[in-house]
Amino acid sequence: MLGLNQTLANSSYNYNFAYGNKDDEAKVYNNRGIAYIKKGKLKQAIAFFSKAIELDPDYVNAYCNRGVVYYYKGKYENALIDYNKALELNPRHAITYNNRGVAYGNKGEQGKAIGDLTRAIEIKADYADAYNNRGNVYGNKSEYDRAITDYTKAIELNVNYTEAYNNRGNAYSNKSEYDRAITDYTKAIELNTKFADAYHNRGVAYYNKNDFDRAIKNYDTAIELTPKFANAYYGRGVAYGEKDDFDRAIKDYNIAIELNSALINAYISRAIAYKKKTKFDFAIEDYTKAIELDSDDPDIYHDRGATYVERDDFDHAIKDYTKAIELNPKFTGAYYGRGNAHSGRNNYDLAIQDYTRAIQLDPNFSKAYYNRGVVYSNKGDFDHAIKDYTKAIELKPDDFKAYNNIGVAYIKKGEVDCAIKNYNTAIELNPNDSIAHCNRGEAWLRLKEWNKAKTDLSTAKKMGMDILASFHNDYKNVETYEKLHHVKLPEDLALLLTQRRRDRYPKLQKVLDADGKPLESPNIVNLRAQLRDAGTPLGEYVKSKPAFGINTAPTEAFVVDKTTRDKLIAAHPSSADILKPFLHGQDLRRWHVDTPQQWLIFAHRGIVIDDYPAILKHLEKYREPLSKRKGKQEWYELPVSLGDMERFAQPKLVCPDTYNHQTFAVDTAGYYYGKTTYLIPTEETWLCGLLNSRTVEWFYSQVSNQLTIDPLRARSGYIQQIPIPDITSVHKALIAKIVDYLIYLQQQPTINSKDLAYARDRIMLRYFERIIDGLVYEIYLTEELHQSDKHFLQPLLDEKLPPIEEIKGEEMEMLRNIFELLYERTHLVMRNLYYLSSVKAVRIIEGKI
Amino acid sequence: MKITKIEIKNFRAFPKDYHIDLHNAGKNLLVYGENGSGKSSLYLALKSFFQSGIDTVDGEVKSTGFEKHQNLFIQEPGYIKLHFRSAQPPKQEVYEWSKDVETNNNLVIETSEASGFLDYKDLLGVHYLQPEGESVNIFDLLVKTLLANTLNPETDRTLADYWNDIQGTYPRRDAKNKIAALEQRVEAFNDKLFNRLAELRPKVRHILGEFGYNVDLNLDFKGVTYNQKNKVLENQQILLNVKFFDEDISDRYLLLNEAKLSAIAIAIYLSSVLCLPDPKIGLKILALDDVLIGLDMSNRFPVLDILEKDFKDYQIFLMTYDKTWYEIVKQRTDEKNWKYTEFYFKATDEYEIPVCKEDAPYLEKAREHLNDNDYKACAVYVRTAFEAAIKQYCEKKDLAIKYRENPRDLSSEDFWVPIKMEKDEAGILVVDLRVVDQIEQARKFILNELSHATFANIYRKELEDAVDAVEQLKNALAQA
Repeated sequence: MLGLNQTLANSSYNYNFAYGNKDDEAKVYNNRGIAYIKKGKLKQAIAFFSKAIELDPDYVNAYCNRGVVYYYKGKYENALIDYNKALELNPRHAITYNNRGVAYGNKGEQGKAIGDLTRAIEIKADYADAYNNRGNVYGNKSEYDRAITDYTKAIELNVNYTEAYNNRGNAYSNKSEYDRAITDYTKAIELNTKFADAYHNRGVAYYNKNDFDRAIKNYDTAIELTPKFANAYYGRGVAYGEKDDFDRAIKDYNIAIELNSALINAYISRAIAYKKKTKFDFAIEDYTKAIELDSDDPDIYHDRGATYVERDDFDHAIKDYTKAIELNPKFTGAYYGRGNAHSGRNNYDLAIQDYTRAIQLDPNFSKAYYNRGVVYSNKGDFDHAIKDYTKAIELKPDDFKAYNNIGVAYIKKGEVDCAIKNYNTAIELNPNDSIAHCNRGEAWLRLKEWNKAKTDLSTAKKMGMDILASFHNDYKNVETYEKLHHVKLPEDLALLLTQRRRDRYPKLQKVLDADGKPLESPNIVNLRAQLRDAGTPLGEYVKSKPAFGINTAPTEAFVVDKTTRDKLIAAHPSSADILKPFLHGQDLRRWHVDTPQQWLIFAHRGIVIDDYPAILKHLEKYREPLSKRKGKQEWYELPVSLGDMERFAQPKLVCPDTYNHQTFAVDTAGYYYGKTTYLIPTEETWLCGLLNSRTVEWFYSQVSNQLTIDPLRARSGYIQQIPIPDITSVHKALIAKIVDYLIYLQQQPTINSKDLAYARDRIMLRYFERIIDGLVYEIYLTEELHQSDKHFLQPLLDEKLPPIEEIKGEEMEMLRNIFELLYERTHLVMRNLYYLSSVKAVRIIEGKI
Repeated sequence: MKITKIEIKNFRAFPKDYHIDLHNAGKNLLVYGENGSGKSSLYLALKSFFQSGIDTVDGEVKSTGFEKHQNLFIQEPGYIKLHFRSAQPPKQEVYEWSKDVETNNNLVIETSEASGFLDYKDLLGVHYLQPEGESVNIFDLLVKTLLANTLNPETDRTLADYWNDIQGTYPRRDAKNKIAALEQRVEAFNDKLFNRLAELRPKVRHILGEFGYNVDLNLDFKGVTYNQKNKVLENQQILLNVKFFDEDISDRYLLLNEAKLSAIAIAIYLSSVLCLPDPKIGLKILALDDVLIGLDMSNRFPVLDILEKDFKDYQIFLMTYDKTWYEIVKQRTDEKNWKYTEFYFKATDEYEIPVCKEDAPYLEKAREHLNDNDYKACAVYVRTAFEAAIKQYCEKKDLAIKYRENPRDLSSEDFWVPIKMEKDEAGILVVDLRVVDQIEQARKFILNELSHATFANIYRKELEDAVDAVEQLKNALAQA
């Protein structure tokens, strides 16, 4: 929860007008005055009421009505004079009591308001508006139960009382009874489908129920009905923010602010969104604006300070935190934040002072202990550091990082055994703590426990930890370590800790800083972060889980060639049912899956093997190796269930588990795959284009962090991290169309030949792939490309490329024509592709920097 | 978008602040200058400026690459600044390249990729072309020089990248995967080169047509193949077959003299530049440094026509050391579009420039050019040798020289007159009258700076005499 206040749209008061009942000229003027009010012509309305009063100075209704108009115009005193006069003439005039009550209510004189409204109800027991209005006054006094009673009474008296439903909804909302609130808003909307406020309020209620999608829908409608509804934009922005859709959120905040430049919460929320997008400068600008609107809110200073820290601008951060403390001398968070900023400037003593103050204010502030520990550690005061970490653990017993840090402190003190004990605890608490594994591995090295060291370091590496960088950071390299500790590392360990060159992705050598963060070129780090934020992780985007294929070992038993397959079917027709076309990862190429030449005996767990006598006979030959397998399956079974059939039958993208380039292909034929294939179940073929692009290849190589391994390796955890941007269906269709072209081309004999006469066809394939690269660049790096005037989506949409099925029978000829058109040196697509490297991010991705 | 002003400081031969104004229109530039005068430095300044946009590295330790071009004699840091201006939309920008300032912005990078830079060294390969059987193999010339930097838009890599992919150590016989991978890379290279040649062919034909060669060039490439047994790349062959008036003359290699081969090489290069797509935000530059010297005069005129017709939206930089050619180009081009600059005068008439002190090579160079029958170049060098010699002597002996407010206004006469009258302790003339006489003769034509503009007729005999005279003068001055 971003913790933002959303204001409900105002509860509505109801004035009443008193129509004339005297059959004379004054009545005519009075009624005409009411008609003018309804037209919004207040000046004329006043004139008519005055005329009526002039004609009949005792005309109660005219005084009552003129009072309302004066009130509308903000002339409170005049209004009260008129109301008072009316009541003087007729002390039982319920309408005037109601109207005066509303006036007092709006002026904030709640006691008088309730008095008048109660009087109105006393005079006229079925006066629904008066109940509603009194409900509002109670609501404003935060007496929600009383308010609800009044609204309920109003509804009782008038079952179609739209506003009363909305108002009661607000009261329930304020009581955090969102379901009841929603029921009321819904009733109000039923009665008036154009009730924008009720939609907005229902949006707020859904938001508070964390149902952001419904909230957004309601805001949408509110905005549709009232296009200048600043609070609705703001509310929708906050809901988008909760959904991590910060681009949309920012767009909404922008509009909200444009419509109402004093909407301080919109500035603060936008700042939070910018921070999420790591656009710290913009965030700071927004906080500054918010401070301009409210210079006494210590929270805003605190937040701006925290943003400065993110930007490593510690001086400004310290200033802001100091201001926050000035405004609220007991602001624990501000002391803590200033401590962090001082720590960032390496002002250890000042940092310790601030953390200490934070701890004094909140003795259970475990993070303050932890960070003070870090500062002590940086000062070389390991004893105090250990004390602080221990306290942090006392407050937060599962703080594995603190255990890890105690370990590091002990290492620094030379107490390797104590260090290992703490690393053990850290790992126990979080078995995936790669840093602790790495640290413990290095500790084992000190104890010459080579095997344990190797296990730990390998585990850390497998978890994605850059153990080389860590080792480099601590000891520079194996030689220096050996010299320092007068030992000789076993060869396998030395190899593990030696950097091997990997030529495809030339990278700067990574070195970790004190916090274990890698030091890399900020360009690369920022680009990686930018891409990561550009979409939904693939794992969440696709509905069912991606996974590897089947472990078919021993393959000679389960995988058969065509001859064997034919024999098995001839021997018994039932064999055909469980012989599935099968491929290994190494059989795969980009885009298109070739027809398999092998078949898998799909003997799933629980199969009734006696139904397949020919298969059983075949498997018998391998009974010995089959029986030696681990696992619960019968000797003749594969380690898969019948349910796995579904996984293979559906449309999917497949890629081999090791590759030099992204090698995804579209499989709609329902083939089966071995464990060297990674399967992503999806019908969206455009994803194949996205995944095969240079951008994704770069991103993947970055996050999978495989500095030392030559080919890339498909790793489920990392592949699922690939961000899938949210693009329009038109753009998806465009990419899918080109993916279809590529699937077609990949199968063509001219493209698979070496004949130079068809060099042009092979260039065509590459060019379409390059177009996909261009499209994907534009999708991920829209701003950067457009700054350099590089566009692909629009020029390609303008070409209205035909879908492959529309050119059936003449595919090659048409594709060649399309290629020649797009390859023309004057074509925008060609020009944009040719000069792509003028975009810096592209140069980074293509390894040109 | 055009370049409107070039500012160079302490870059290679430019010892100090130097700038050329190309006016708001961004005119083409024609430079006359002898070798070593800074003409090539200007060419290099432009070329390196634009290349620097791509060559920079990322990360903390930055090198802009400028240092290696810094003028060695001057500590003060140098720079190159280019002013750009575009009329539509109206925009003016200045980009700098120096030790501390990078140029990697998109304008510079696009321009670099859209432009052609060719110098005479690139064409030296033409001289080594040997007939193989009955035709000429221009594989090396194309792959390693003329087409090396052409980018393959379908992959973002250059032909040189693909060529480098298949260089180096070749796999062992049993490394099947590696062999297969290498063969794939060979195929990729073949595809790229084949495709490039196919695209070039019509353009080359067109440009050769402009040269007045009514020929069809068949750039015949069958594909490089890898021979695993011998571990070599075979068939590194692009045979130049010229169809001349519908008659195959590849078997008459002798008809293809060096001048024609140079023309063909230039045509291929210009075609490859014309094949590039138009940049989105950059400009197109064509810079040719002395590339026309290999052509005889009759083949140079068509080049001007080609530049005018096919490169009219390029900003052209032509550098030449051939004064006659310079004068001709000057006459045949429109002043509205061209700016003319003579580096020779600026550089060597300014006596404080260190380059003049290195007199020794000048006379040798004069002789070399004389032997090559390049009279114009010979004249330039012998005159330089003369001026350097007399200036150096005056400095050494501290002779009184006529006072001029601006040292640039000092003429060789100012130095020569005191030397003529100089006597040693015994009262004997340092330079004997016979030598004085020879020098005076030579000064009438060869050694007179005013005569450069009209190098119309130079005779070998006169040049020989002048070289001898300056040598004797140098000997005399050395003994004094």
